[in-house]
Amino acid sequence: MTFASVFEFTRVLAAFLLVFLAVPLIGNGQMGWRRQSPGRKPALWIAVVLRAFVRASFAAEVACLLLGRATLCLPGLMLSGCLVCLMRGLWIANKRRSDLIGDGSRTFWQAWVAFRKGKRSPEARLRIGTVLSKFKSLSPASKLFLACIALVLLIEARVPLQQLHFDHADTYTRTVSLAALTQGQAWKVNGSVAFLAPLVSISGLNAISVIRFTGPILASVFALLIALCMWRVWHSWVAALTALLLFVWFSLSPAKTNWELLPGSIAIIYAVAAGAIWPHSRKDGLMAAATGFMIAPGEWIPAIACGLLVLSVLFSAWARPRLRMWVAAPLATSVLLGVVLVWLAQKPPFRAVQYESAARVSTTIGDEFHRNEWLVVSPFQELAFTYGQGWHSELSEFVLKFTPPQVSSPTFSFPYDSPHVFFFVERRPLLAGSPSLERKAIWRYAPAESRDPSAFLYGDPQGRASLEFRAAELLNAYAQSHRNLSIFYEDDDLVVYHLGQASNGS
Amino acid sequence: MIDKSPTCILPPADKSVWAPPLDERDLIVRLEAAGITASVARSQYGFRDVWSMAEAYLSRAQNHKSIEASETKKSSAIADYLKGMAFAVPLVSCCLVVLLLKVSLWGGSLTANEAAAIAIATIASFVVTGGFVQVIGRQGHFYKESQEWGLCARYCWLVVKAGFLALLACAFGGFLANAYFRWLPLPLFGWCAAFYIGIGAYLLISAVLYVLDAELLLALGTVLGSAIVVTLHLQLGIPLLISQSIGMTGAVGICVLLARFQFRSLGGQTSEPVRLPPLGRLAYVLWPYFIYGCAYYLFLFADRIVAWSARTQNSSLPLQFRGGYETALDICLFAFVLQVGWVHAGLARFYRMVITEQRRFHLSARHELRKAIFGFYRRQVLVFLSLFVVSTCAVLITIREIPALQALLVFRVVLFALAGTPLLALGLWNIALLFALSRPWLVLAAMGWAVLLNACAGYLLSRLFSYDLAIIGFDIGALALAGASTWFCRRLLSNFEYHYFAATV
Repeated sequence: MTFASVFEFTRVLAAFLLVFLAVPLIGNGQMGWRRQSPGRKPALWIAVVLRAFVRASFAAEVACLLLGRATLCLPGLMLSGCLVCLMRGLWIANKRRSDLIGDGSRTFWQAWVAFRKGKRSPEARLRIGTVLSKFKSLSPASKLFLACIALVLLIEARVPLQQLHFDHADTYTRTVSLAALTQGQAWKVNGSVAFLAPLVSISGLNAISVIRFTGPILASVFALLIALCMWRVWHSWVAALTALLLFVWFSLSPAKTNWELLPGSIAIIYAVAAGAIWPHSRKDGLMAAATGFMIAPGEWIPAIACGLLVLSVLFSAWARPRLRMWVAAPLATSVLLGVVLVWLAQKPPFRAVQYESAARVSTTIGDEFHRNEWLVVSPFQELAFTYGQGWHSELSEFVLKFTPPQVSSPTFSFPYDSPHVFFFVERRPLLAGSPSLERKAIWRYAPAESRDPSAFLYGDPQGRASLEFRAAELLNAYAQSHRNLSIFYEDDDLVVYHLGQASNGS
Repeated sequence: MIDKSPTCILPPADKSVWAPPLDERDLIVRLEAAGITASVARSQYGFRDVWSMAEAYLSRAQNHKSIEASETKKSSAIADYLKGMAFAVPLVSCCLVVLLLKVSLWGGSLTANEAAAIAIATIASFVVTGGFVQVIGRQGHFYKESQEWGLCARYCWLVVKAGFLALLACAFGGFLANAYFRWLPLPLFGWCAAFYIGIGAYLLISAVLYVLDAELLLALGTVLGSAIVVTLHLQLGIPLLISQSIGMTGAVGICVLLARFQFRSLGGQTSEPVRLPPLGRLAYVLWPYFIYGCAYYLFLFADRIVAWSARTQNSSLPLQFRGGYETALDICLFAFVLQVGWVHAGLARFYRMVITEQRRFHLSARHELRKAIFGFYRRQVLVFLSLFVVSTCAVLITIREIPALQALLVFRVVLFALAGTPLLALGLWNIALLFALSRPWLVLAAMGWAVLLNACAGYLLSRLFSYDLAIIGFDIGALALAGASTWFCRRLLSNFEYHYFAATV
């Protein structure tokens, strides 16, 4: 864990809180510091916060899907959208406050004077003090609840804070999709990344960091929603806390498999949100369900989970005044536990697709070299790290395009325009798809896939070994007659060659 | 104790309308209006009170002849027009230096990344200092017209210092934003910040020299700064960016010295303490003008920012300097200068016309006065139209006659920019009238819409089709500015006598 990764995590978390909570709350004129919060009763503010989260997610998903189709999902529009939303909220709040400062709010200058006066007044100091004392006067249960949420976040984030590579091949595809979306390039619709586009724009980070850190954040949201549902069913903080602690225990048990979220898992989060908000607002419940559907359109488990949750929460609300709570609540609780188990089971096991060193070197190159002045020649996975920062070329194309006699000629030069070219060659060819990075791992490759040449070269052990051997052979042949090739990085698994060449003015 | 007589008892140096005092009471009013209270009369002039001072000076004041309105200095329309174009003197001097020596104070033969960084620095410096330049001009001219050179100098240097601090603060903010979003590599950001501060300081001091009507001194400072760049770069072989940084510092230093010299010669740099009005009051009066100054430059440069940041996935920076677009706009700048020069001339004529027409019409003939005002407004619009035709033809003929120029620019941008310049000039003429009638709020509303439409339309068009279509955003913004400001102007002019009276009060 480095300071840089902690800082990146903080940026993604701050962007998430801003986009999915602060912007919709402020945009709706809800400002706690102006005594415009809905009240201290949990039943009141939980509904408001949940509604803000659901609406922001729905708006982000729909807007980014539409803008992405028009290749307009760009940072400028994202930031402008957030700003417009905030301005709207300030306007609404100022209209509400006009009775406090009278006509003074009509002009900016008068508002400023009123603000200055208000800041100096003892009443204002009292208000700031009240806000501070609110935090101090939280009940021990609330403090414990907050501590549990922080613990869940920490546990979920412990792996992505330490490792850069992903454990599932699908996550690389999603990362490339998110990068293409936020770069305004031609984009194949992928609902599981669309709602994350504002986070890329606001955090200022690349798609890889956003995908890496939104997994833990969304997992914490899931835990929070489950706790909320439990509280709603049992009307007890103890039940909510128990659910959270249970989730912590679940999270701690499998060390490496629960931080990456696949589209189905994300959709379940919105299914739970639909169940939690349904008693308050059916419209928002439908919005949450629709968001879940857009995130994972082809998956039926989230839809079933959503339906069951809504039914169980409604049943619990209906049965509570008629039957005893001990009769009504267990059914809903068992449904909730079932959803948690499905959520955990949805995560596929760890499959190695990239060396950690390859991910780290890709990041280092992106940090050290100027944008678009470098090219990485490697398997597909590095594309996720280079997209939007540099160029990428497939290693299989490189191997198939050149021959050793051709590159060993002193007059030969690679036809790349970039001043810096990096070749990623594995010393120990990775057994892509194996459940560990160990050499003796069991191979799970399906022979039928070998009809596809790139699947053979990247997926088949022999194909991968021949690919890496051929790449090393080509580079060795080139190095015998050229002086501009050097080793940029090497370890037991990987060698990264650096080809420095004069820019052709790309 | 001061030996010389107070200036308020003498005819004004600029030969404006003046009459000798009628009696002691009249002179006392004039003295007190000039800030000479009983204590000032006692401490600085050695009189018991203002009454005794008026008694002493009355005969001397009555010996001077009155100056009638017909005798006041009348400037011709051509002179006013040239004065209106004086803001372009540094630009012209820079162009001449570039034409003769191929080196300028900033810009020039740079790499694509350096050009982008300098372009960002230039735009940022104009936007950040725009507000300060506007308030220097606004209040500085007020003090200048009141012959309060001490206050003028004090005020101008105070705003220059505030502007410089704002430049530094924004540079620090930019550094933090750059560290967060990683727009520019650190060395490039360093150059960007250095040029931003240099150009910003140059713009601030230019505003002071404009207040002093010292455009030629500004041109001199610019040429001397360029000479430093030429010497360092062409003679000594020092890299261009370093030479330009030193040249820029030199130009700013020379301009500061010239401004100080000019103030001293006008009596502004005295050791006597002068007290400015409270800063809060100044800020209250001037802040709409400050916002307008920033928004105006934001409007002028919004299309460039939008065009340069469009479709930059393949470039090494998120903002790519596009020479073809910039050259096209630079060519059109000449047409703009030719058109906008009339704003000053038109405003000078407006004030003269108002005085004449007010004398001509009786109080009951308000309708005729309004008709005369509208007639004048229409005639000015016709002047702008004719200037537009002439300047556009000149630009198009120039482009046609110089084939090398055609290869350097995007012709579509030239056409759209030329279409937008008369709208912008008309908008600025209306804004000058709105300011004259003390309606800065209406100006801000028009400018706000113009900036918003310019940025939004340009952004969408440049992202959906081609980067150079950002210029259509400029046209739409200029149309909004011209339309909104004309509407506001017509509304005010339709009840002119009331609004003119209210503005005077």
